[in-house]
Amino acid sequence: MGKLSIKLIGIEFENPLILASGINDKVPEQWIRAHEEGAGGVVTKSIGIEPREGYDNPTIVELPYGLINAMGLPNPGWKGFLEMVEGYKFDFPLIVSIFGGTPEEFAFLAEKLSEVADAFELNLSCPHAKGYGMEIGQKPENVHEVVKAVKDATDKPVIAKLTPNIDDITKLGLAAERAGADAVSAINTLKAIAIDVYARRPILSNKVGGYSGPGVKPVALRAVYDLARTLEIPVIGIGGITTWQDAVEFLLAGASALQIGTAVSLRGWKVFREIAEGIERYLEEEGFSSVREIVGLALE
Amino acid sequence: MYRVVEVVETWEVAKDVKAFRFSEKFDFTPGQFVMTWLPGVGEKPFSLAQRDLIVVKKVGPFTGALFRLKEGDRLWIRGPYGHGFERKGRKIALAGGGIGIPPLYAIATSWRKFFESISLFYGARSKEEITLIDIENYVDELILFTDDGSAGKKGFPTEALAERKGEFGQVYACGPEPMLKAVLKVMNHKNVQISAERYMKCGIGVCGSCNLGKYLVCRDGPVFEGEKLTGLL
Repeated sequence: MGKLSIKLIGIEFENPLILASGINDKVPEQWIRAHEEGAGGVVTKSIGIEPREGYDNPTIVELPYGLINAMGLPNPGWKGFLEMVEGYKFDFPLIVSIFGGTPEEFAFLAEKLSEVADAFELNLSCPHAKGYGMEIGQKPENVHEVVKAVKDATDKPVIAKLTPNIDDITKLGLAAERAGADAVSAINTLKAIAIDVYARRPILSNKVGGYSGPGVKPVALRAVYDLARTLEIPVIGIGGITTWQDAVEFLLAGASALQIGTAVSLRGWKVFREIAEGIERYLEEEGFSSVREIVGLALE
Repeated sequence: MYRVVEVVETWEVAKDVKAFRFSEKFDFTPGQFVMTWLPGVGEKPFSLAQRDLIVVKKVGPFTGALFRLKEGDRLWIRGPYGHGFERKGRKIALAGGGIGIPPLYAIATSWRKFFESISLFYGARSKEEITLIDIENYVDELILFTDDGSAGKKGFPTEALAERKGEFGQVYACGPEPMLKAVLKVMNHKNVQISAERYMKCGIGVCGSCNLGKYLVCRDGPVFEGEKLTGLL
């Protein structure tokens, strides 16, 4: 295994940098591109039962330290997804993100998509879709039920993606762990709003959206730190990772792998290679032989 | 974030096509686009025709609302975004179809002095749909076609381009997709850049809705080197 390679939830990744759900990951060509550009794995855009168009524009607001988005879970539905991936073979781990309104819907999707997915990530955390995501995932008992239902429906590893929009994220993490989740990922975006001072109204057509990017990094890092201290299962760190230093911070805080999203928009695809090279240099300079050695060092 | 600009001038360019000049000038490369928001209505991408000019065809509720704007009304603009044209060639050809003129207009008006000559091959469905703005003042030669022969020659501009392609160091194209495909074919995907179109939402490489194969039109494009599109268009 190379310096950067990791084994997580039974899957080998060339490196710990995974494309986060919802960024440039609508179609197979984009997943393949992400891998070509240096991502160790890919999480797809969240897939639901029925096709959804998503919200009308504006769906994004650019801020000095990140983005607020409310895309509205646009996706082709599970049938459209299966048609879309037919004939493709992927030489990297493909994590399929799914969302549902009930444990049964999540389980149904996991069953239908098990052939295609190397693992599932459960979207229990999108902050701007009525009846989905965070509206379910803010309650530990719901997280427990959804994870359990999905675990019963598939043999593939299951990652619960948690919301930071709660008093204590470890409650959600513990609920996922007790229900048999193979890992948790955190954080999804922070619920947020932007108002245009001249239009005197919220910019997003959905009014509220999710804040991501460098501005959320300290909050995300704290969430990962708390989860890693509390849970036995691995934590995948997400939230504003833009530089190799950010990535190393998350690893030291106990993240076994990382997801990168907004930085792909801010810095371009090259961000995967930049961060990977930075981590590798750091390991060498600091006398570590593998990225696995530094996971959680700041927890002690 | 948006820059709030005022409409300073509007005029009709062709049937259902209007030009909007606004109060601020944006630094841009020909081929780049801006996102234009009308609060309460929506937000759409438009190619910049000049630093302060967009040219719009009325096609739906958003453009309908835009057409009702008068001088002094506000527009919210973010950008410019995307990958524009790269300046190449001494004798160049512009190949345009229908409402595809704005990015070519940007080339002709902002890069005129860098070229030895500019030949424009342009096609529209009929005389009343000719959307040249006033580009004829900035090119050395205009080869005009209409599908129905109501103005210029009857036929397609790509036919004329095919006969003369050896004259040009670079061809810059924008227009309906069948025309772009024809231009790429005529040029064998070489010495040609095209401005592509896909359904665009965020404009900044997040939502992925404007994918063209593995590329995103909003980030990798809208302008692509012909060779990049081999097998795609």
